[in-house]
Amino acid sequence: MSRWLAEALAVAAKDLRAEFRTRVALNSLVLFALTTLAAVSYTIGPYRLSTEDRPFLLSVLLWIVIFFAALAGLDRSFVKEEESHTAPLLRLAAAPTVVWAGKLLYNLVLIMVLMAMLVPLFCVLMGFEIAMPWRFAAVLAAGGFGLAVTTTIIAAIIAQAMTRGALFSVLSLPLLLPLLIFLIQGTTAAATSDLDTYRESLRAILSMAGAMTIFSAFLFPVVWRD
Amino acid sequence: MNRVGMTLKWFLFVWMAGVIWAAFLWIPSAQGFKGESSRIVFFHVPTAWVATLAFLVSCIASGLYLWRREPKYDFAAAVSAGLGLLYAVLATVTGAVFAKIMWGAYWNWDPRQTSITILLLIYAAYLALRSAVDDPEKRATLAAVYSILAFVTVPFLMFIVPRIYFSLHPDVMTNADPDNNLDSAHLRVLLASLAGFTGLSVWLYSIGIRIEEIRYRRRQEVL
Amino acid sequence: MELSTLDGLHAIVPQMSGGISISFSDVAKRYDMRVVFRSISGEVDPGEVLVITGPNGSGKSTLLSILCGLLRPTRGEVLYRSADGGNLTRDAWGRHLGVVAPSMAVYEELTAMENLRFYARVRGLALDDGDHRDLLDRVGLDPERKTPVRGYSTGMAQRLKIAQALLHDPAVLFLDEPSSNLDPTGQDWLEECVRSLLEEERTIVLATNDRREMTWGSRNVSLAG
Repeated sequence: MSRWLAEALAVAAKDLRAEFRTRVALNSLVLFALTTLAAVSYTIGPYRLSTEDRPFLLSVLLWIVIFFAALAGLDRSFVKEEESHTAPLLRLAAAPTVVWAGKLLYNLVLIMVLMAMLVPLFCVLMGFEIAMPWRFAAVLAAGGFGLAVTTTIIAAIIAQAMTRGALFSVLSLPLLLPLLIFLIQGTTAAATSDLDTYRESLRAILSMAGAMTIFSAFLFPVVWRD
Repeated sequence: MNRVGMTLKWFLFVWMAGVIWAAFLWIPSAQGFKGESSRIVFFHVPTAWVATLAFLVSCIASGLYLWRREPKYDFAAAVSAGLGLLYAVLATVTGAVFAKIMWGAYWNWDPRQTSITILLLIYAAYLALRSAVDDPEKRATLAAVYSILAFVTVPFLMFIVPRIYFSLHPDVMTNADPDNNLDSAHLRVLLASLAGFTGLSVWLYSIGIRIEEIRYRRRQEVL
Repeated sequence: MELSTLDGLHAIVPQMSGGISISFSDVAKRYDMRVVFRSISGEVDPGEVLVITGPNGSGKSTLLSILCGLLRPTRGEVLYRSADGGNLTRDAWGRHLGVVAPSMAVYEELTAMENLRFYARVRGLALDDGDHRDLLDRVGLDPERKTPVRGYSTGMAQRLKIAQALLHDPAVLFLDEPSSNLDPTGQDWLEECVRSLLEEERTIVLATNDRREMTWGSRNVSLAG
């Protein structure tokens, strides 16, 4: 077990090291998020929304920015391996679940970095007041994980296809929509101190993320190996 | 084409003609529905039903393909997905027309409309994936995996989303009975339509399967 | 720069004592409507080199990928037999083979050391930096070990690929035109290398059109026509 973990960490570390040197995915994520945030902040800003609409609308906007930024950069984990022709040697050297776990961890780190940068900025620029900040963070973490798990398996699938660009978003969105709905609901609840809805949403988010994790772990070897 | 097949085809034609006649000419307009809009129910419900059924068939066939690796399961998954898309579009359009007449807006994002939209997106994504992979075995595998992943997210939609949003669909608006506002004559026509649409889709499905089998045989002839 | 041979490379992975034999029968590959090759058979034992020849586009690299377990054949069977007579499952092949091929690259953003560290870690090998430096020294890359592979010449990159293939001391080696990009000294060194690997009872499968490389092997499979 610990050997498996060490191997998975090796994959994640390698991806992060390579990414840090070229910063391609990170740039896509961050630039997309910042540009969208700037546009939203400029046009809507902290004053234009009525008080009762704010929690819901700001939650929606926040998650839309996060999701689309994620879709801009998270397919790289697998697409790059295929395009650089490094995938075959990886297939021979590593067990499939090791590759899956390592790439998942890599995507998770990217999302967390994105959120750490984006969320505080969003809250400040848009005047987003959160009544239950820790619970808000919990929703973000759970949502980030759900996003990472789903995009990891979809990235693995599209890396083997021919026309990759739009396919990643096309395949990810139907699977992410239910998650998105609950994340918006949960974030709104955390902002407005609605504990019951918050709990219900968090439960839904965690079970969706959990189900996706289990199924991805089982299906990934089928996708990865011929 | 064999005699049984021909007979069944003509029987289906007569049956569907009968259903259409009954829906538009025989049955009077139902109580509680605005104008003639109740007639849409005879077409909307069956198409929604077939769309959902096709999804189930596609997912089960995908699972079987991954387990057994037999091409026939891939054919089933692909063909039912294509059919499912067609019927999902029909269900969405008929549903939107009904919504406009009854409640003034084509689209409300109530749970049913949300669900059918996501189903549509899943079908479209599935077919987009299939068209993006050349190698037949790889295509079958990747499509099957996606199908199962989609199947995982669907329960969350079907059972949980409705509890959150207020639904404008008739069965929620009045008592929980799905066929309320329809008396026994309406019910009979609805069931007849259901049977007809199911028969129609089975026929289309068999044609699709035959096409896939021909393609497969052509590949086998090469090697 | 002295390039030494690889005798004395530590047996880090429990060596398959007696080596691994590979046999394949009636292997064919079709992509949709295009047939790459129809019915290819052959075998190779420890201490032997199987040479796969054929014109460009005849499917040498495809056959190599199938024999490695990276691709599934449309038809036919590939068997890996260990000395005690048991067959290895396809999932286990990767542990016992090393590949050098133009279509398979190492990580360009990483240095040679980082590449070797990664492959060792992901294979679960207990190797330290000293071992990696040893290996790099033997392929003549030690001075450049801290430069990203992106800055390497093709010859240097080829030597790193060879190092990566030998890292886990595999019983089987797949070489796809391995002398390409190597200068004459490098080519001589590689030939010596192959000779010493054969003495250690390793099994080698070589895909090539190079006249010199073709002389390395006793067994031959031709994909011409």
